[in-house]
Amino acid sequence: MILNIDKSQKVHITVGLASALVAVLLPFVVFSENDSVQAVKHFGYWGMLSLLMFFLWFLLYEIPSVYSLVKIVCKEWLPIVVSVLCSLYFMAHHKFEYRILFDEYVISNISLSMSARNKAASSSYEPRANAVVEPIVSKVDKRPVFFPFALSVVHDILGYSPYNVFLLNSILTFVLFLLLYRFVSSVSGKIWGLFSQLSVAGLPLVAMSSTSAGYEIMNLCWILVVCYFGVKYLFSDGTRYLDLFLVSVLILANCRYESILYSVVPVGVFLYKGLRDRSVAITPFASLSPLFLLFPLLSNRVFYSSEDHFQTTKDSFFGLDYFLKNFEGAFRFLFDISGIYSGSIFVSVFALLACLLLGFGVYSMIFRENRDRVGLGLLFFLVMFGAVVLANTCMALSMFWGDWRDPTTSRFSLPLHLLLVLLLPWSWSIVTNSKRPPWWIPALPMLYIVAWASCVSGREMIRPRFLGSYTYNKVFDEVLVDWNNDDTFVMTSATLGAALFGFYSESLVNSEQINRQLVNRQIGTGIYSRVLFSRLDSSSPFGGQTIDAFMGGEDGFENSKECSGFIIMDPVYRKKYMFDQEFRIGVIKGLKMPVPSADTVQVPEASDRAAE
Amino acid sequence: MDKARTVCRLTVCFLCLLFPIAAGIGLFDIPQFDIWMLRSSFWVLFVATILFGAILVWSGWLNRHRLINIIISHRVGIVVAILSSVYLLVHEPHEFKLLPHEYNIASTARSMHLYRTYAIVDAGHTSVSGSTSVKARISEVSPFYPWLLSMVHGLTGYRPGNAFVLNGVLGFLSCVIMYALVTHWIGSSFGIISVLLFVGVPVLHEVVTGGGGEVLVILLLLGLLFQIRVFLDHPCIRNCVLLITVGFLLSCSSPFGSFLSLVLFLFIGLFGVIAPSRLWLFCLLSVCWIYPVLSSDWTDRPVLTGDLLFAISRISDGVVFLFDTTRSYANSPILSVIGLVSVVLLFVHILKTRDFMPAKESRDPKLFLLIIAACFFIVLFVSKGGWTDPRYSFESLYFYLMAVLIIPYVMRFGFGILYIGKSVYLLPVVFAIVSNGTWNAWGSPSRIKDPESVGMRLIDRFFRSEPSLENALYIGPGSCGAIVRKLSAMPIDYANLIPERIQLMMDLECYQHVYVGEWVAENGFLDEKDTVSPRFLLEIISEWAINDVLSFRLSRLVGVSDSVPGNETLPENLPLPFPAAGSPRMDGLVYISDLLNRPAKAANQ
Repeated sequence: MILNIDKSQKVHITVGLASALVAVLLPFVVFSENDSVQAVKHFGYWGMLSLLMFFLWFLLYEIPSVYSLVKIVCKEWLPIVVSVLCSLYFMAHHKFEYRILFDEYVISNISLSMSARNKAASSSYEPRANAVVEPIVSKVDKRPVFFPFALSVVHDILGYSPYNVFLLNSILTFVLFLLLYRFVSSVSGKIWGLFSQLSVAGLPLVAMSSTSAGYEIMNLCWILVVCYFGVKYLFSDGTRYLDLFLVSVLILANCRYESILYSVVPVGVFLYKGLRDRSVAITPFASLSPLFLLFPLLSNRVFYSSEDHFQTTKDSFFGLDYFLKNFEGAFRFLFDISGIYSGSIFVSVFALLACLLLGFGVYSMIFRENRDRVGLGLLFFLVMFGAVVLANTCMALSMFWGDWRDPTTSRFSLPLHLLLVLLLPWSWSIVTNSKRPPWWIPALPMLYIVAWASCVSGREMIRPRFLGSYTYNKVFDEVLVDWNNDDTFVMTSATLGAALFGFYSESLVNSEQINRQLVNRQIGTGIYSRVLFSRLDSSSPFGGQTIDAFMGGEDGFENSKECSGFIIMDPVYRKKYMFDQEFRIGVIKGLKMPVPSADTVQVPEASDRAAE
Repeated sequence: MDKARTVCRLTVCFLCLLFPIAAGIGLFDIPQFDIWMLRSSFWVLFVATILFGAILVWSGWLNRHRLINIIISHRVGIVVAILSSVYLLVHEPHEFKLLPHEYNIASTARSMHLYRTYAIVDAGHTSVSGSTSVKARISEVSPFYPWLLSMVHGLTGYRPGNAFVLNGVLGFLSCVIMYALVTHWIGSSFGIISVLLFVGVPVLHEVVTGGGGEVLVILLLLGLLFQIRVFLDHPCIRNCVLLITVGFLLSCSSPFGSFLSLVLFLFIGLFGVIAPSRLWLFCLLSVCWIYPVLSSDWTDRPVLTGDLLFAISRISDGVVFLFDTTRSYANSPILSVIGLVSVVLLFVHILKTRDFMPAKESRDPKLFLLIIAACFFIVLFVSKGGWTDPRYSFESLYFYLMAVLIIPYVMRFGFGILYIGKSVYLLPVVFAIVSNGTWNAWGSPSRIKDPESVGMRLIDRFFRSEPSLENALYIGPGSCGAIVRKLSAMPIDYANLIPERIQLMMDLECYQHVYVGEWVAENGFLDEKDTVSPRFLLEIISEWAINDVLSFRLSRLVGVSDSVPGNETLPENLPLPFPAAGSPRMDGLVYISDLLNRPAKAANQ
């Protein structure tokens, strides 16, 4: 087989390979861990901005005129109405709230920092001279930064609010439904487009994610964008849609940790198309695009740079034992008919049917030589995409925290659910090569929503889950909202949430001596009318271990033991949640006398720590 | 030959109808029917409604080219229907009115929404972010309205106030169907007159702004009348199935509905429009009526208890209600007078024509006659109380409904009025305005109200007024309503069995407050199960006097005293031993839930 490659293309390919090499070598060989942290912190914002600009730039070339857009909207009013209704259906069933703590606080906090200072780091703040507010401590997080960047853009447009994230996720949910329709209708026809929209609407898991402050919905949106432009590129001539396809993959790789896996899809599609057409064509952007993988790879380096980023240890974070245990949980989650989990039996059963259909299609292609160009291309893309999603799923299940029956981890199944939803329309299209399925197909998911999914959504709302986040949300909504955040300072073990809601704050650390000096300094400034200390105690009345947690999420409860004993507090708020959770807030009045100790630790100046 | 065939058809229909009637009056029993009903009610109604909706959409699709023209040509009527439905919503407070009946409906809807069961939850535990049903019983309300409400919860999220939204929409649809029915029958100007007359009935305002399902019955009854006319004009299979499903849904909406739908099917049999090839369909479907008949509680109806004197006293109650001019009842005396005159004129008309043969031209007065007879039968023998009792005054709506249908009919065919001047529209508007009026959040001040409902509305307002109640336990009447309002709650007799467990929950600070609501009657007529155990130490918060002898008291539980001989708690109802120290948190949660679970009853209870 001979490929036609001209000279300029050879140069592009060489540059592309070199860029890929640089993208791998820089974070893992050239840069130290600290370099990676600094690179993400200082260049993360600009990297994401340039990616977005590239995407919009390439998209503008493909968007028809405004008049054509209006015509499309008039013609496609039904899926638009369905998208609006499905989004509203989600919002009606679930409250907007921060659910997964501390992840969602970190993401929002980074977006605040990106909006205010163009730095990709989570911070707590204090006022300095001339009313300048400066971060006390900035910490670069392990998570990719595209979602915080997008949120920071919303802050920049609308003005900062900790609730902007819900607006962003609501818009993204609407976009998700539109993208679903757009992609599925382009592959399998309009009826399947409506079917897939309604199938996703019957998935309470998506509803929960769309009303949380996480990046799951954005991740799904970009997966669909990748699929859409991937298929477009596959069936178009030359390099049309290639840049859009690549930039979508790059943005997707910056949405979630595992999404970097989707980077293999363009490589596969490129090779397939090259072999099919007997020619290779590549654009200048495509040859340089691997450089943009630097950011997710740097984030990965940051992830592995500190043991703090692992809830377990580095070695025990993934394991085959976890996989086997979690696989059973995933099976029960996917095929649950009792409605206690937030999955959808409808999607799972129809995906099984799709597998049968696909098996028949593959059999027909192999043994009956019933191969057409479109069907084969779609099958290839489906295999590539499906393999990546399955790899992603296996990775999620191999993690120590991968039992999908836990409501905080069930969101890891979302890419798989998307694949399951797409499977039936896709298989239908491959097997029948038709875009005209029976007209009543969309009625099936609609019936499922009315008969069962709405009930599961209702149960989700009354099930005692996300207790920690519920407590924090209550405290922020009911208590702190009444206090002036100009003269209130919050000192707890993790203060991301407090910073998010506009309070000056400082995190306490895992040392009583340092904490004493930190508290002393803040109550000594005299500029705050109250310095608050808060704690969420979990003490069983039946006897058992007491676990402390702090205003900022569940992280840091180890530290709290170091600081709760020496503070003299004037309690201002105490509320019991369930039988064993108690949230207390107190104004720090002073410190108990320290027990003499041989070693004394010096607290670094705030400015020094900010610079770290 | 025709006559023999008609008699034959009639006999077959009658025999088929006997089957559900026999089940209703308890001539035979279906084993395990309660359990089946508990689990399957939702799905039975789901299938029936989907069938109904699908045929309706199909019919709409077939007539889609005419729909726009119909809307344009009836724009005035549609505007009148919209304004009338708005008028229905502004006079009364939007809250539960007939309690605990409407609480039972709301609780059934909640169970159908969350668990797909046809049950009322009497005891439940609500924690900061979750809710558990502890004690439930099979529901006693007609299932279709709670089912519809559960659908609204399903599509828009659970809120107790959804009942008022649903009733507002049903009120609007009733006005539209009323207009469509009379317009289809006589003409659009008479349709407008009917709608204007109908919205002047104060009891309709009460039901549209309440949490009950009466307005749904009205809507379905109007729908059934409309569909009967359509079916008699075009007896195709589509109209036949639509008619049957509307009848079935009506019969699932109220005990009267099941009775009325059977009567209407008898009417269709009388007219002999059922083709012999479709008779089997009616025979088969009559078996389906067993479900709504058995889901209604017929056992204490006067017709079955043989209390005919009590039944006949309803006549005087009805007359007092209809013609009262003191504004003590939710009546419209003007409409009552005109309606009664119209009924008399209709009789005269029928007697004068003496046309008893099943001819198309004479079927409408006969249809009216049959429904009037059925309503009269309901009032006399099926109703549990007279219309002067606010709990049963909504039954007068059937009379008013017939009145507003017969008045235009008599105007058109009795007096031969073909054209109505615009000034005539003013009359029903004036009737409506003078019949309705609101003073404060309780509705019309001079109107007699049900004392039990008044007391429970007070506690309902308490549930709504205190945001901190999400972490409170309520013990008292209307516990199912408290659970609907997202509180933890249990009935008094339930709490009396487990005082130590409640004390333990207070000690563990599972609840910030424990409230006790109770009726206090001077003459002590209260049932023992409504009396709070003397072991509960109460601190009175407030006491609302309902009337001279009855008041409702709300207290805070401050503790539980030790038992005295003769008043001990059963050993199995004492708190279980604590879970082992250091056991998982889930064990603690299970332990707390078990504290409220299924207490044993003493042998004499």
